[in-house]
Amino acid sequence: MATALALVLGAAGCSASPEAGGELPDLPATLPSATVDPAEAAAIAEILAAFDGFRRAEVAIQANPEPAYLALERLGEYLADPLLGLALFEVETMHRRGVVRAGEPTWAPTVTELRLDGSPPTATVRDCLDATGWELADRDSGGPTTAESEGLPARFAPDRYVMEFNARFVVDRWLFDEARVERNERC
Amino acid sequence: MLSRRTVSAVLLAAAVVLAVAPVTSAQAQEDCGFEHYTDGEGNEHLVWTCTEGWSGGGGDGEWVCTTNLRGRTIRVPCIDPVLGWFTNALGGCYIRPAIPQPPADDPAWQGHDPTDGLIYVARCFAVDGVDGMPYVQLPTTLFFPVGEGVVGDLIEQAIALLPLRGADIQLAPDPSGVGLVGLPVWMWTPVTESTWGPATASLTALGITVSVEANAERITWAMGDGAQVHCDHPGTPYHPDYRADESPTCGHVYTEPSRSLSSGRYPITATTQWLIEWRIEETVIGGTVPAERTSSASVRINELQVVTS
Repeated sequence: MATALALVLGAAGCSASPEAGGELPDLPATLPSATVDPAEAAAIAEILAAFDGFRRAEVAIQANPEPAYLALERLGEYLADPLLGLALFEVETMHRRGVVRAGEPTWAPTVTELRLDGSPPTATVRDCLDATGWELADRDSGGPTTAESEGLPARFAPDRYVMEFNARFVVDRWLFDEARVERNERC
Repeated sequence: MLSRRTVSAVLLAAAVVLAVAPVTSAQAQEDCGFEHYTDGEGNEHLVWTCTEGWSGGGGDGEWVCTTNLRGRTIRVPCIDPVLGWFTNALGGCYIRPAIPQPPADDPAWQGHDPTDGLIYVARCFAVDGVDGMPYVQLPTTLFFPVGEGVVGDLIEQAIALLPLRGADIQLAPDPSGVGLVGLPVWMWTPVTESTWGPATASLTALGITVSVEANAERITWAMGDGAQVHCDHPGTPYHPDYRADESPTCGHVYTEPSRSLSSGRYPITATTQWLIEWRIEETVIGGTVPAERTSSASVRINELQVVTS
């Protein structure tokens, strides 16, 4: 059965520290569970848990960037190539440049597509990343710096981003392997 | 006892470099490196950026490769801790094994047997530029046997340092004696770094250190009577207290005597399947490669004589 769910099951308003995050506007709420079969509901729960784990790992690692090889094990729990390589390159760049990301973002993922009958099973996750309180700073001085001057992607600027992630099921877990910023959308 | 074999193979590796790779003795370009760059349309690229143009001066002596981009020769690091190592294959690419490796039925293998090599993520220099800057394209996947280029040679040299052997075959009944039809045969090997692992080695050359570790995963015992016994265990040494018990981990029972064979004995072959993990220290570059080692013995099996009075 080729299932492409028009799902918007989500965990709105996730945050590195729950007390710090406010509810994000215009985010879909959880659909009635009666519309989702149990296997799909279980998969969605696993995907959202994995996404939350990824974001938490990302926040922790970028708060104190180490050489990429030291971040590999933790990020590898949630990411696969090519996204893993990209995330590791960002960490390596931050470490080399002496840049940290201070503060905490919030995120609000929803599973918009789920293809459990694929080989491997895949999914699409749509996220609203609120990085307005998550800013680049010089590790030593604490002073502000910019993504452009540090050789980092423009999405490191403190702003809100609609992002879409591809996930695939590998052995025993969901891994995210691609991500893109939806530049023409706001959240 | 575990031991770590370390070889500083600068001279050996340097000879390989001169023979194989487009490596110069030049030093790194000063103030150059890969950076993220987001173009006006929001597309992200990894661009090769130099603060003083592309003909920069000396660096800190890191291992440097040369490549030709848009008619200009530039010097790039032969190793990037995340992108991988540089190879002139396909016009100049950084490659490293994909994490994780795709499953055996993934199209990325393009018909190759996963035991013959690895799927690599390749980031290759584009022939055009992004806003005037050289860049590496979005990653593609490629199959390579173990490694490619000079680094592949270093990995194979490091693997060759591992003291891997087949099983040190031990049998009950002892091969100098005689076994009986219907009675258990015990098979095992003493556990050493050479017979079961872990065995480790490392090799340092050209500013990088390749570390390898091998562990046996299985011994397949071909018992000479057509039976193959797969043991995911080195086996349990027999002790006379066990009398006629079967081995709890690795054993066999013959149903026919061996006298019909020309030698009068069953030839036994033990094939140890090793899994070798390799990695380049202080990078995310690493992978696995299988290996096999075989050893042999034989055993004589007689019929069980039933004495009646």
